[in-house]
Amino acid sequence: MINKAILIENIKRLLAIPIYFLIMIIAFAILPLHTTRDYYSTAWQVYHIIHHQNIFIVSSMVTMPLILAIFLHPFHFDKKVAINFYSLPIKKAELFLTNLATGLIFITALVLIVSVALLIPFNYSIEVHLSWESAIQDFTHDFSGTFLFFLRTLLGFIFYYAMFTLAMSLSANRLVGILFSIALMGFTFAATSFIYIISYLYIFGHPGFDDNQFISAVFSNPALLWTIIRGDLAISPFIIAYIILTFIFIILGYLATQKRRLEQVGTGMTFKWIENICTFLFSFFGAVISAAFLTALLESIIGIYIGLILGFLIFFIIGQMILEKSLQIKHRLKLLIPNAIIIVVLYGVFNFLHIFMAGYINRIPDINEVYAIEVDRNWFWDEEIRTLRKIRDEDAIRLAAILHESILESRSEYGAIPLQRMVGINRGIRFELIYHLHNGEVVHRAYYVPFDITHTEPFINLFSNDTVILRNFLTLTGVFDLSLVTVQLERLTENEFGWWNTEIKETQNITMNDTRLEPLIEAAREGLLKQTRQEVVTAEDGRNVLPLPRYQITLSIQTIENNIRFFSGDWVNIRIEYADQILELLEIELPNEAN
Amino acid sequence: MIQIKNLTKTFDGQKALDGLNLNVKKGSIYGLVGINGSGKTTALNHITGLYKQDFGECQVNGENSYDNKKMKETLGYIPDELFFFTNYNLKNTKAFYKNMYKNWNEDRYKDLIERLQLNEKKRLKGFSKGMQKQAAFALIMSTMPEVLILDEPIDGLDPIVKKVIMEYIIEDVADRGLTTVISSHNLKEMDGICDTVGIMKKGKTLIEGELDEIRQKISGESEPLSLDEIFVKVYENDYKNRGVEKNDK
Repeated sequence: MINKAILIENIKRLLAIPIYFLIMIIAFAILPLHTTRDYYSTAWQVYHIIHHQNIFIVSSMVTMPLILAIFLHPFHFDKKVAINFYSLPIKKAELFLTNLATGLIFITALVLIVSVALLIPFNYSIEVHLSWESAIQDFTHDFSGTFLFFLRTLLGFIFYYAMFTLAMSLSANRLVGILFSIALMGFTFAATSFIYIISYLYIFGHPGFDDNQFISAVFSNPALLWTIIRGDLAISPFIIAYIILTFIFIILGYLATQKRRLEQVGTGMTFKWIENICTFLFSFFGAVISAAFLTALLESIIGIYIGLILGFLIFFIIGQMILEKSLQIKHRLKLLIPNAIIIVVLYGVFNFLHIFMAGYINRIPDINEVYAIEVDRNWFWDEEIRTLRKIRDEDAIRLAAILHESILESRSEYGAIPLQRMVGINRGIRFELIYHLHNGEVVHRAYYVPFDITHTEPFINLFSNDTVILRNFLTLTGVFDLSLVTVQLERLTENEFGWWNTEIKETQNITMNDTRLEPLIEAAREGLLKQTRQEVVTAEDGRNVLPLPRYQITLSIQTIENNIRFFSGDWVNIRIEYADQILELLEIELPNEAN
Repeated sequence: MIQIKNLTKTFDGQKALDGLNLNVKKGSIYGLVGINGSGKTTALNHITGLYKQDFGECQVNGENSYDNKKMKETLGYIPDELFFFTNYNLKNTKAFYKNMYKNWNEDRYKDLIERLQLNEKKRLKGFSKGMQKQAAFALIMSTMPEVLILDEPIDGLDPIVKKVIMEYIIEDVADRGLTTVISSHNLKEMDGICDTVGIMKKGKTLIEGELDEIRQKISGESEPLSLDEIFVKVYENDYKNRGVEKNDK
């Protein structure tokens, strides 16, 4: 199945490629571990490498497979090379598998050497501050972690190698091969975006996944690692998906190599139907970009239509020129007719969905069926935090349903045009509401609404509700064991340039054993509620700016939950007019100017 | 040895081969001639197993030629345009061919590079076109092929080298029964080498057979014609016949 002579020749011929990448990784990722004297910095660098956050390893994961795929398949792009290669005593299948094996040998050797080199600075241990919830996790650099790094990195390299091998098998000239490889990398992005937009606009009122998952799915493809590290250390569905995709790419690459004909070498793509699909997608991509650009420029709906038509035409012509490797593409313009027909059919399908499926978006569940709601869940990654932020207050649930109804009633007034949202010109607030029903159903809705909704009664009523306000300050609701409250009194002034100056006047630490802790939390809660209610009523464009100079009390609260230390907990900012009780407890007297 | 029956191949809607029939006997030197675009190279690319036919049959030694490893082990092909790996010299390329072909003959290789005076250490891409052809010939002949396919082999070669190469081929035909197919524009050169010819036009064979028989048939009572003259006559006859066909319709 594998031709030894070609394999040896490939290795001799292309050995410089993995050696170059090895030198780069050793020089810019491994060597700095030994030259840095500071323990913490070294540990931090090791953490970055193990968690695939080192730019040299990440970029090599994509660039090395791409370069290998290009150089291992010269016979796909040049007829002279193809004739000489295929006249050798080797079957097409054997040639494909031999080239695949060459790439795998190079990749495995590189990743293995890098992983072994990583074991030299052994046993570093640090506390890592994770983002969002600011939790701390212990990280120790050990053999099992490095072994998992090896497996994941290997998978990453092989995944991209398989993907680019497929791209080369389907391409008949080098430029198209490279462009197609990049396009395949963006395939997950395009597919996810498409599902997201369609489901968001036409089917559910909200996609089946949330924005954070969407973002991670989008960004994970070019740098796969994000999904791999996110899957914890165990095998995650993402890893399984990548393994399956790798096999699919290899099988498709094999079949394409078997099916491709020598006479196609040097043209655009190996199969006409793929060529047509690719030029359509490329033109469609150009149409959307151009529509977004023109709409922003003209600030009018007309920009969308002009942009779509112009963008499609321009990108169609560019695509054909790339495939033909010539400016003379007149004979290919007739292909615009089937493309236009597809666009019209798609437009019709979308409109059908919009008319007949949009009813589902408007459904508000019976509030008797609802046991909890969530608002702005999207900002929180941690499922546990999301659960704690659920609002179970009946009054809040009722008020949420009223606000939801008012949004739906006035929805036609603001931006019901799907394309406007598709190209991202909607301006306003993204309002998200999730109903948890007794029967286990979750009704997830998200709407773009204009800023002036914040002045309407249903909005003020919902966001003045105590439980709704406190969802953002879990440390004040008693769900955590508090360990430390740091109280800071600041004086805020405006300087001659109109900038804020912050001057710390007082700082006190109040520990768990302090008898003032409970009354202090109680006072903070009361002050915060009063203040926030006031802010909701007077908010302009979602912001509430009070005149300076003024005093502000900040409570930084630490909690311990499941042995994870939330080192910052909540920062509760309370302006001085709502903080009398806190000042009393702290025995602080304000200077005269604050009164 | 090589049998092509009703072979048809279409590129972008245009027929490059239109029911081609060829029959190359073992141990013969077959000259495939025709004007530019008559389908000679396409026919050779089918024999060497590079192209897959749309219709018809193409067999070498009784086996279908397309993507046939076993057949290619005994077939040597020197195309019109050659490719060598970047930075490779003859020595590196020889090592590759030695690993690729089971029947590699080192003595023959040494003999050939000596007779052709090829520098083993010079980069092949730095060779002239003629020198590259000689290098390719040395490599292919050292694989001890049973079938040798040469596309425009004489282009760019000086007379002495031409003589060496042709002598080698004729020796192999006599000693080992090598079957050779040569495609060329240079009919004068072909005249002295080939024992069989096939004249192609628009993807078809106009005439095929032993050169002497064809010569006799076309020359008739008059002085024997050269291959050049035969070629012109066959094309003229075809043109006339087509005219008659058109008028009949």
